[in-house]
Amino acid sequence: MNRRKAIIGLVGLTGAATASYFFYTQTKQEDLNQLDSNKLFIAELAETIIPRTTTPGAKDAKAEEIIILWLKECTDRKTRNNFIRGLEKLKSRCQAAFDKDFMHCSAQERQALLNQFEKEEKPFAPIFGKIQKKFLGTAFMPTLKEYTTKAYCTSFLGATQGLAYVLIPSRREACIPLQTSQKSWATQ
Amino acid sequence: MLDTLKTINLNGTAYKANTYDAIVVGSGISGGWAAKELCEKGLKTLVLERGRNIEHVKDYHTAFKNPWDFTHRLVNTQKDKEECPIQSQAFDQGNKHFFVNDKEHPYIQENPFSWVRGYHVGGRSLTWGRQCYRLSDLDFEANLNEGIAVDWPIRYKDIAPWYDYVEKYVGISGRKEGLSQLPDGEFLPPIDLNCIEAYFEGSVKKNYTDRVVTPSRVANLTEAKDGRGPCQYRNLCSRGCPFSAYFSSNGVTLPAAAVTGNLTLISNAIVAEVIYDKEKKRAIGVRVIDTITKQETKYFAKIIFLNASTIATASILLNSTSEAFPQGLGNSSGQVGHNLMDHFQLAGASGIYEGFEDKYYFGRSPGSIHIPRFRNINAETKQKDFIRGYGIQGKGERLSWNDLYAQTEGVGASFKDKITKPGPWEVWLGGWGETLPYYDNKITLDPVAKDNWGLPILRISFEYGDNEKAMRKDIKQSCKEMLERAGFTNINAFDYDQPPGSAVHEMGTARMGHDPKTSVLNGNNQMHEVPNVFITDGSCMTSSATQNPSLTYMALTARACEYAVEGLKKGLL
Repeated sequence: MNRRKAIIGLVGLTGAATASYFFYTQTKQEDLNQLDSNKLFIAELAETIIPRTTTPGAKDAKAEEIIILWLKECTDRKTRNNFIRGLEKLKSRCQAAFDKDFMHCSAQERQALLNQFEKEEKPFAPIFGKIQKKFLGTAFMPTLKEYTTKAYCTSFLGATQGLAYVLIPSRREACIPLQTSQKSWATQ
Repeated sequence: MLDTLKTINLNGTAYKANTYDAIVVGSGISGGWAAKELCEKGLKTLVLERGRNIEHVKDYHTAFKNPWDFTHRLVNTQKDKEECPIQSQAFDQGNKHFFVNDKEHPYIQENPFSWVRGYHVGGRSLTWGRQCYRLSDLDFEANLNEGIAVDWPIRYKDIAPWYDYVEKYVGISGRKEGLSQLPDGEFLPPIDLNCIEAYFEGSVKKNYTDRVVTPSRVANLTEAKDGRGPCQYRNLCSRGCPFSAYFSSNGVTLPAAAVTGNLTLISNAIVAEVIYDKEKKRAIGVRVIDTITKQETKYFAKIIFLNASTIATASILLNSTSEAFPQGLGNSSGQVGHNLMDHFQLAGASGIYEGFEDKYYFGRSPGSIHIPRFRNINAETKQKDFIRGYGIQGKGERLSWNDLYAQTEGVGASFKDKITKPGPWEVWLGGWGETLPYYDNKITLDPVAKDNWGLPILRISFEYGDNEKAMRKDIKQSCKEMLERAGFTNINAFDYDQPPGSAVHEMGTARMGHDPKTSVLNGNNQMHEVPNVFITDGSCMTSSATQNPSLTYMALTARACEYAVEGLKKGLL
């Protein structure tokens, strides 16, 4: 269903039927086992967003584990449903575009696919964006990107090698020259 | 009420065993001070805390954890949000154990009011924001000058020596500015401003004559003091500090009280009411419920300090009904529970600065920047839309991954590179505004609903008035303007409509005043009608001012303790 139409259906009062169908699809609980069965897939998606370079990547940091835990326990139902449906949509889109499974795609093909998804799922302009999030939950790609980033940057490998981390700084240097290839602090 | 006394005094020893010179109700920032002062003055003092014990350092079990050591990496679960809809806005996995469970400790919101609480020894002194600012005569005289509510019965000169006294003991980092509206204090060296904050300070100095940017005055030790600290720049204060580098009851005042040998601390002890003897015209003790066994005990003392926090103290008074005080202890004025105030916050602006790309910082500052009140200070700064004013708190830093991912398009190595490098500099500014005392903003006891311990559940009714709404607009505008003049771009002026209470600065429910007909406490924080009961938590505040209030509670507590002990010596109490 077209999202913009759905919003207008709710906000613009174009019909109770649209609204109730919409409500049903949004609040229905998707099968959480689909997250576990897609663990390897989620790991590859995360790696596509944050690949191993000179520093560890999302897979090294086991990002998929915490992503799945957050989806199960720290995510509202609408956003989680969007995510689970997004996984399936991505798979079929991959098949249609490259005639193969995502797991068999090259890194470039994977990136192209995710970039395409990101463009399509861009939130509406601020005011609509807010309503969109409230009624529809967060879309697949923003959630995937957010969770991958957080999973990586709060992991041991991500924080200590991908970023810079000091548990006990002991001192404050308020304004110092930036070091060559200085990483961002993992915690503020 | 003498009958009550006899019923528990069967063999004479129970009364004796349960009798102290002083009782302090609550162990948070003001209760801790009362305990220290009274114990050091030689009074056998009983501190009653409704929550569990928290032993300094030993019980800070999250203090040394890394983000990856937490099962959910510091992200709250849906269950947290459902069970604790209010507290989960303030806690994360690192400090959740210092906040109550909303389900276990319900209250009724007649309209939205976030009551953020910590029921444990030390109370909110473990999780406070640590900002310490003096009130001035601009604040103490405001009600009188404007004909609002009642006049403060004290002036700056009455409290100034006590600010000195507590500041020297607490250890507050800060910079002297010589401002009449925000008097200087006894400071340790300030936490230095970083590059962007220092630049912003210079810009404000250049563009405005009516305001300054100063390092926030925080109870974080920039130098070691009395065996505590110094600050290790971890910025994990709310988990409890293993280095004792910020001020809390657990780390400072309660240990000081304990070394005198005069302190008895009982945790898991809810004070249900203060017991009043109408013959003696004095409070004689308190009735306490053990939170675990639900058993009742009475404790007796010559003087009682109520430091349960603004809302809880008022509820104890309202629940302490007797023949002499059918409306609640010392409440002939009918003011107890009324005039509830909180600072309103989160109107402001943020912006990006292009420059200083070759600069960074080391260590995580537990401080921020502060712009002391600059509205309605004098004739030149008088506003036509509102009275009083606001202070601005802010922070400058380089954006990092937690902001950058949402604004960086694409995936793969270039995305990774961008979010793992220091981003552009950002300054965030937000106002903390004065809320006027409105009689209708109040707490009451529900006549029917009871909590787990059979005590009445509280109702909170609170709404901002036109003055606060007008001020919010000005905050947003002035923050935006300062950033614009400093050359910031991508300026986002905001006005998040947070529920009242979110600043966690509740005040005013047992206000000080000259007249027993219109106020609950006199100029010494002594109940007009019950001279051996003192209240020195936020409930005593006659107006809210704009300053973070804890420092004022501490100073008033020390001052009231001196007055109470003098009174005892002279046989007046």
